[in-house]
Amino acid sequence: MYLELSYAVGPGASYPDSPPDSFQPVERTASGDGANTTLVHHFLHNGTHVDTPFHFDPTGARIEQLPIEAFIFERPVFIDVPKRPGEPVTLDDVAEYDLSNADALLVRTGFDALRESDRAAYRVLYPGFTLETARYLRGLPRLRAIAMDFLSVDGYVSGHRSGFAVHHALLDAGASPRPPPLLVEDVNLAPLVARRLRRLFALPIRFRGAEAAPVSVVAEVED
Amino acid sequence: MSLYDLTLPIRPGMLAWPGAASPEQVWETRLDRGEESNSSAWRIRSHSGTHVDAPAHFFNDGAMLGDLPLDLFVGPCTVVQVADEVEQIDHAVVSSLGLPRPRPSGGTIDLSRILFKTSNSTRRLHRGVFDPTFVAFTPDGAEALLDLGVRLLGIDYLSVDLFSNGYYPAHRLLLGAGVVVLECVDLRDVSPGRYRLACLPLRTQASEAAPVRAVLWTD
Repeated sequence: MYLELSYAVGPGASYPDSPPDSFQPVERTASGDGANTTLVHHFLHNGTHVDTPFHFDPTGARIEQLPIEAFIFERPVFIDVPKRPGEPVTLDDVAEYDLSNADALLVRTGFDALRESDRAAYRVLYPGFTLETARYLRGLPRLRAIAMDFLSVDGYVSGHRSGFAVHHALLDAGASPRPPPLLVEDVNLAPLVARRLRRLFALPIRFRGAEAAPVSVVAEVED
Repeated sequence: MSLYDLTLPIRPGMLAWPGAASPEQVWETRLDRGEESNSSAWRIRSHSGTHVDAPAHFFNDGAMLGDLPLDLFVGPCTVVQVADEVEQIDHAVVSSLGLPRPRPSGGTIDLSRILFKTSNSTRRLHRGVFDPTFVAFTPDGAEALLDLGVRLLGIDYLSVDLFSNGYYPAHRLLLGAGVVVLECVDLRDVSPGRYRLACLPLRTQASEAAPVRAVLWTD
């Protein structure tokens, strides 16, 4: 069976200071128009989205340059590492799992529970990864994507202080001989608890020239 | 696993319905302006490029995209091709395909998702200008597909309704029956046959349509 892991795009738990999304009715049957149509204004980093290397690396790949194979994963690994607000995901958290064959890593910290109930904590005190964790993940031989149930790979405060060092460690071409993984942020991973994961789809909308895209993340799990 | 991406890139000036606003990209920050990252926002019509229509596109009380189950968008899918001479898909054209009728006892192939490849794929979809002679469905063609049990219907151009259909009768028949319509699928490289489809829309909290990423594969 299939489980949807993306949040719906709409007003909500976005990264601080991000431009808001809007939905502007163009035609409405209720006003006598022939059909309903809408103009959508969407900042690509609001809601469940994927960052490509071009987000932080001027020579990095943009979303439409990546082949469709880049968004389908046959050996995804889900890990559950509960975190309190302000507490990062560390090397110890991930190093205890065998990730040598993983093509996607899904990291649940439990922040999904705060997305609606404590929006301030969700937006500012989300975990992020430590820099040494990022370097370790970047070195994994088969890893092509990292998905997480929080807003950004860089903690909010540590990211601003360090010049987004975790993003750079994961995305810059020069940071590793390994190709950079896709970063899938703000994903609802709660449905995967106690499931056996078979395959993962993270299919992004295909905006030409973009550094990111909203993404539908769907897990194929055993019934 | 062989994979086919059916999705047109969304870009300014892309193929669009006459009079419809073109997609616009707005850079919020740029590395080449000395800012910390590249980040952009997009302004798009909900019917841009490869997209799905939900019943709410034509019906006030119709289901919006967020109301539709995920299972509709992922699963077995049949691709059929009509000859290049076919200008409209009517009841006779659908009948000529010899698609099996659903039987209550089961045992037939699953026709709940079906994509039509027409001369649009080679002659129209990849041209930048709107071509009103595109191939699509007559009302009785749409009805014939409803009789076959279709729940998701795809076409390789901007509309399931022929341009000459007027007040969108094929849309009304299909969406009124709860069928999801998938438009502008790029089937150039796809041969007719049985596949699996994932056609995942941009999920918005309330929308009558949305761009999708659509993929066919065979295991």
